[in-house]
Amino acid sequence: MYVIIVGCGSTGIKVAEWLMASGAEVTMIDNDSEKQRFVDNLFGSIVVLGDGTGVESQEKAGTQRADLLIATLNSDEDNMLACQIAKHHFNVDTTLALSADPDKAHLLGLLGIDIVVNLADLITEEIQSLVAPMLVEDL
Amino acid sequence: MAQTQEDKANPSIQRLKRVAVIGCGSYGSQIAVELSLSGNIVIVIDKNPDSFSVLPSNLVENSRVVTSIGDGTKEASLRKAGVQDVDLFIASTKIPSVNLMSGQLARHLMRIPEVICLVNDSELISLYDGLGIKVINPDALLMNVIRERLD
Repeated sequence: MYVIIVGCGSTGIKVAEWLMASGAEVTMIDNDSEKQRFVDNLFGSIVVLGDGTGVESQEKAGTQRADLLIATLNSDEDNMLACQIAKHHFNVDTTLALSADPDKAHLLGLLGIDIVVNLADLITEEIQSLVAPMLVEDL
Repeated sequence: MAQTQEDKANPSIQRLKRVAVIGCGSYGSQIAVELSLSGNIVIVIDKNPDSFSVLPSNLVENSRVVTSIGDGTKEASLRKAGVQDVDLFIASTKIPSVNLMSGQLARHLMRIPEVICLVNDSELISLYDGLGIKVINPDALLMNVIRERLD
């Protein structure tokens, strides 16, 4: 499986590490040359320096042959753009966007992004399952 | 649990659980809102008063979410916010060491019954489980979603 990860933040790096350990081929895109150096030192040369929300950088990263693109930038808009380019320009099978804004998570789903993950939602669900018996149920 | 003026004024509030959330960033603010909407009283503590602006004003005005400016790693800040009376303590800043410091302060000095820390390091989970603190790894939750969808 070939995976593109947009964004070399801590989440992007953890996901890359895990995917490579499970046998996937991974390329990352980031426009910060310091982050590029840091990640290339960790994993070997896997980072394309450039704007992950642009066609050019995605092409350089080989998005046309990717099975999955994961957008982990801080802005929901940037993640939307990165996923839509992958989906509609490069015909990537599955796109995943991180979303920090619960109001936008629904919109991103409507815009054809295959998987929208709001980490705060996942964390809240996990909290509720860890302490379910003691928390007040939905009123 | 200590009785506050509010409890005496409105006995129905005693049914509600009290939760403290450290950090009002993208995780903390959403956790606070969700837990408040499901009927808990939530205290949110952050060093930066501007961070509270993302909280819905109706929840703040009704005191369903109570904000307190302070440092989650300092006992004085926690006591000022009334953390000693909560049933559940959640440390949700972006800095694992802050969350673990703050969580242990809450668990071992203030004797909060349930303490959860967000930590992006799976190796620490077993360590802190043994110390009476529950750890949630947000990155691991994301990887579970990816794994489920791809399998």
